[in-house]
Amino acid sequence: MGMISFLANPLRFKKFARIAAPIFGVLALVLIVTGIWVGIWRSPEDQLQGHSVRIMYVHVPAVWNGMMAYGAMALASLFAYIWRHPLADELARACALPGAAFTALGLLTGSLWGKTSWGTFWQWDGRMTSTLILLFLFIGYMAVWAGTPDKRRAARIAGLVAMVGSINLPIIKFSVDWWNTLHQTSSVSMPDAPGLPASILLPLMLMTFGYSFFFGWLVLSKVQNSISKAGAKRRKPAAAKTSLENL
Amino acid sequence: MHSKNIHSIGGVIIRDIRIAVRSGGAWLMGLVFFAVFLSLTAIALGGDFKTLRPLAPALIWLAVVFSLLFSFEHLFADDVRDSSLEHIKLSGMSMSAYVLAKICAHWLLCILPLILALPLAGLMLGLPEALLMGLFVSLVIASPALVCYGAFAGACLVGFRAGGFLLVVLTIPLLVPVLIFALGGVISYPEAGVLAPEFKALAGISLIATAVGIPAAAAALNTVME
Repeated sequence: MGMISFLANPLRFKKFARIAAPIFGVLALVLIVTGIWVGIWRSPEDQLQGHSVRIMYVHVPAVWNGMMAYGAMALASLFAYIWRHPLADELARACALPGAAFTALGLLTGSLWGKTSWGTFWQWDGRMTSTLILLFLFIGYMAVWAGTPDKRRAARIAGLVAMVGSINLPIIKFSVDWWNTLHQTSSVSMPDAPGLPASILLPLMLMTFGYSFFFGWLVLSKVQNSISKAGAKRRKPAAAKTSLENL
Repeated sequence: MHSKNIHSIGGVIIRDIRIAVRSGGAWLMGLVFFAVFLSLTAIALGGDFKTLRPLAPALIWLAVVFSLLFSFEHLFADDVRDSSLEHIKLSGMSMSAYVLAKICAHWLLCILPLILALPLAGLMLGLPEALLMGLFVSLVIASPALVCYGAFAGACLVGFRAGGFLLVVLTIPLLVPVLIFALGGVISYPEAGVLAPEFKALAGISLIATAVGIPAAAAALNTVME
């Protein structure tokens, strides 16, 4: 809580972002490059899936981070809604595009992986379906921002959309899983993280944290940018006023 | 809730019904859309009852969802445009009470006709009689969720250009569980009846939708009025 109120000051946040954003960027680069290297050359191929298991190192972190981005967006929206803090609105807004991109990447790589291991690009499987719906939620949120000219109103309504969506996400997930078990007699489940050997878990974790730092870098830079923009907008009329007073 | 609010809820409902009646039948366009949608799907699928029968519950549900979704675009927008919402707010009526009244009126004007038209829709698609009652029950139980989420999206998109498409995009993710459990309930209705587990889940979703949708719609309208 102390951390949040400390960073709630836009100038302090800007200072923090100026230091943290490059660190996040460098960490993301290092982790992702190492992750790719370990994933391609230093990890074993799967007994059943062969080399195609390596798609997992791109796919699973993308989906995880997409979900995390939605969570961060909803949480920031909640803060913005309660304390009416414009910085939290900017944070929530900055989460949307990277989150949607991660989710879309997850769907794309998931379908590629599905083609190699199940023989089909798309299956109405529980996870794929709920990931697709997550993408729709992101698109709706961004469309609200894009379509409302008044920024303050757009922030508040988009925040409501994000919060209502986050209440519904568990219900959607549960219902889709239930529906999936009903309709599908046999579904090939993807390997779960806890049961994985260390040689596979290491690149997976490297990539996951790499993605997360990349996400953090994107969000911080975007918010930093919008603080500067807002500051520039506010300074201009002030400068005009002082020059008038000088006359 | 104050008795004043209850009184004004009745007033808003009666006003909305009066406006609808005087609109020259515009409130029935949802019903017409419903019939047109079903006819077009029947034609597209070849018109053979053997193909249509197993698909009938899903097709009828889709027709209901889409005919309803398009009706929410103007639920609040008209009241904001002619500034009657401003007067209602000045009168001291709470925004949630206003949303509740609008939702009740909308249920009577848009969902009730669809519910009454279900037997006809079943006839068009050759729906087995055993499933018709299940369809009926599923729509009644799901209707609070449908109106509450629709009203929330409608309130968010007041003053939006081309809000109709976005309204569909915003509500569809919220309606996925409704659709899943409603159709699951229709299928298991002949054995399990009204107390099918799917219907219980559906009732739960409707309760959550009411608890979330009405305050959220009221908050969105308050933002619009600021």
